[in-house]
Amino acid sequence: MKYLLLNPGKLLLMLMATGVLASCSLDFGDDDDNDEPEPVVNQVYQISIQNLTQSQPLSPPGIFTHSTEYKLWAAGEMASVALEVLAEGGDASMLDDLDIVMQSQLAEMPVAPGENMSWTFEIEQGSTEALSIATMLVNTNDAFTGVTAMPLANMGVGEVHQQYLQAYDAGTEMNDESALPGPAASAEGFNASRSGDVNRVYLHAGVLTQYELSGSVLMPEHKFDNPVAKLMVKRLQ
Amino acid sequence: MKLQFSAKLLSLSALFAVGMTQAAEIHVKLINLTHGIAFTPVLVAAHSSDAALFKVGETASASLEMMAEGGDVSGLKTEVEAADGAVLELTTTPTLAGATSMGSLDTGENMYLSLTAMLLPTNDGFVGLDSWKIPDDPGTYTLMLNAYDAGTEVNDELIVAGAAATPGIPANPSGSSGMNGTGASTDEANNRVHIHPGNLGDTDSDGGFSDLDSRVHRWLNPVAKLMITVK
Repeated sequence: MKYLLLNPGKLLLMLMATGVLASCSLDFGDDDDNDEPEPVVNQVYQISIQNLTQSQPLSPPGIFTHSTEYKLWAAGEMASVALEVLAEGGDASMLDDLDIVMQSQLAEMPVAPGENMSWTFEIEQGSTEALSIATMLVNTNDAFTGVTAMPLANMGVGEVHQQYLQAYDAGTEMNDESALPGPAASAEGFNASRSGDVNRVYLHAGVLTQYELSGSVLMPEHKFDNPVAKLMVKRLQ
Repeated sequence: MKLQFSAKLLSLSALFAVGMTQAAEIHVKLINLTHGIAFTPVLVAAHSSDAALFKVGETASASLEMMAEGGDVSGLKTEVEAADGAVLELTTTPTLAGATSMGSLDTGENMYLSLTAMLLPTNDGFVGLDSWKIPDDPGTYTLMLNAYDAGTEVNDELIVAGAAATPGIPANPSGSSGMNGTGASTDEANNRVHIHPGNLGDTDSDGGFSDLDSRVHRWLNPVAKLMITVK
C-alpha cells in the first residue's frame, strides 16, 4: 500500500493488475476514447516545486500522502527525529519510514536554484489523503520548506492550487552556518543533539553570512527571503 | 486550418465583448513599505495572457535587465505597447521609501496586470507583480509585492555611477551611501528571475565589503503594497 507509486513502470503493472487499464486502450495518443463512459480511475495530480532562492539548492524533496489528521510538523512544536534528519541532512528517508505515510515519492536529485521539479501522484477515488512535501535548504544548518497536510480530495479536475512556501527552522541545530551539508561547506548533516537551539519549529530568521558571523562559511548569495519556493498542485483527472 | 480557428476565436471574443463588461478603468495606489529603498520610475502594464513583464524562474529579457539594472522602463513599455497592452507610468522620477504613488489606467480589453520598478540601492533588484488577473467585480483589491532579483548581475553592493551595462549600483537616492567597498557577493548563483536574497550591507562607510549600510538598506518581503480599484 505504502509504495503504490514507486516508479511509472511499477505503477503501470499495478494498474494492469488491478484491472484499471483493462477496459481502455494503451494508446495514449488516441483521444477518441474520451467519448466512452469513463472507467473507474484514480484521482491524478501533478505536483511541482520551483526553487526561488539565489543559492540554496533544495535537497531531494520527499512527497507523501497520509491521513488528514496528521502533520509532519507544526510551528511552535518540537520536530520529530524524522523531520530533524530531513532539515539537518536533507534526507527524507526517515519521513518515508513513518507509519502514517500511505504513499510516497522520494526525488533522487536536488532542486537547483531557479529549477523546477515535478511529479505525478494518484490517490484512489474518494480517498481523503492529504499531501505533504518536505525539502531542506542545504546551505543552512536546519532550514526546510514544504507544505504539510494539504487536502487533495476537494480539488476539482483541472483545478490548480498555487502556493508560495516559507522557510522554517527545525529548531534542532544551532545556526553556526558551518556544520551544514550543502556545497557551501559539505560538512556535517544530521546530528542527534539539539543543544543550542529552541527545540521547536519556527519560521526561519535568515542567515548572517561570514561577514557578520565569525565561523560562518556562507556568502551574501546564500541569504534568502520568503518565499523560498513555489508549489503548484494540479488535478489532472 | 490554424488561421481559420483563430479567426473563429476572434469573432467569438468580439461577441462576448459586446455582452460583457470589460475591466476598463482601474485606479492603482502603490506604497513603498521599505525602510530605506527607493523605487525608480514605476511601470504598470495591462496586457493579455500572452505577454508579461517578467516570469519568475525564467531568464530576464534585455528590457527587463535594462529596468532592473538601470531603472529604464522604455524597453518594457515599447514591448507592452507592441503587444497591444496598455501602459501607465505611475511615476517618472525615483520615489523614496514611504512614498505613495497613485494613478489611473484604462486597461482596454487586457485582462492581466503587471508592475515593475528597480530597487535602489541594489544591483538588479526590482519590485514586481506578474500577470495578476484583473477581477470583473468592481472593488478595491490589495496585493503585497515581493522584491525580485533579475539574475543578470552579481550583487556586489558597490555604488558605481554609470550605464545599466556597468556592474555596480548606478545611483543611491536613498542616502547613507558608503564608498571603497571591496564587494559583497562574488557569484550570481541563480541567473533566472528569483526572489532577491536581500542586501547585506555593512556599517563601514569608507571601506568594508559593501557600499550599503546594513542598518538602512535591508528589507524583508513584502516591499510594497498595491491597492487596485476596479471601477
